[in-house]
Amino acid sequence: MRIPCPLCGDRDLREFNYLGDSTYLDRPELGDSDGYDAYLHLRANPAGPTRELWFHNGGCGAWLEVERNTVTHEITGARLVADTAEHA
Amino acid sequence: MAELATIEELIAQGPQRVGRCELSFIPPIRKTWLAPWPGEQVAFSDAMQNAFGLALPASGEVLRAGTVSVVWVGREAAILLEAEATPELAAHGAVVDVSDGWTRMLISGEDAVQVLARLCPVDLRTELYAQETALRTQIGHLSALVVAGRTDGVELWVMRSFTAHLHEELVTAMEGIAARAVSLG
Repeated sequence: MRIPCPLCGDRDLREFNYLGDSTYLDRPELGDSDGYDAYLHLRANPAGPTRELWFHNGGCGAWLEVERNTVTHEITGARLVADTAEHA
Repeated sequence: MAELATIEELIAQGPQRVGRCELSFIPPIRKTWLAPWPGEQVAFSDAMQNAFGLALPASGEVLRAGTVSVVWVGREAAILLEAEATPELAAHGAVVDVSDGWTRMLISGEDAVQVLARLCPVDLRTELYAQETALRTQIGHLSALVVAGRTDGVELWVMRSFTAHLHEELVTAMEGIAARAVSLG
């Protein structure tokens, strides 16, 4: 499996670490208990396209949001988390 | 206090020649880590143009002007080689002397790419790199920077504390490739 790092190009899976679903990018407001419960514990388990966070640890050190199909393992895109305005 | 490994002895051994491959240290020079503050990439790059005639490198770029060069080392970060950073640069970003922080080696010879193929997940065949290209990747399990596209070999950078380990990994791979060449005739 290869991940197309926007900075480094196509790179081998062994250079990356997996964090989890990209839900982690959308932190709820402080005090929103139900929101935090969902943020920490509730995950969909889709058979198909997902968005997830990968760290290019063995490469440029950037966090990526990767689109991956859980059925085929096809990677259809990757972008820098730092480039998304709300997380800049 | 822990006894810190010294790399001087390793350097004093001189270039290691095994089979059709040679591994040597590149003599240390001044290295300065450059990282523009958020939103100041353009101002930082302009300050670099003024000082050295070099822009802040984009992903993978190695830029040279005379004896000064600047190498991309990661997202919005670069290392300046040889020259001293100017105060103007420090006004627009982090500027840190890391001269002792990194060591550089050069692996050359006919089998150099074969040796690296045992350790590095990136395809480093010479024909793939028309110009010098900086790649952040791993050599074995060591985080490294590789400069491919040099005419005289492949340049490898690691943090200083990894030096002896990288050297051992490379020499072991060189011996493996050389032994294979002998056994295959």
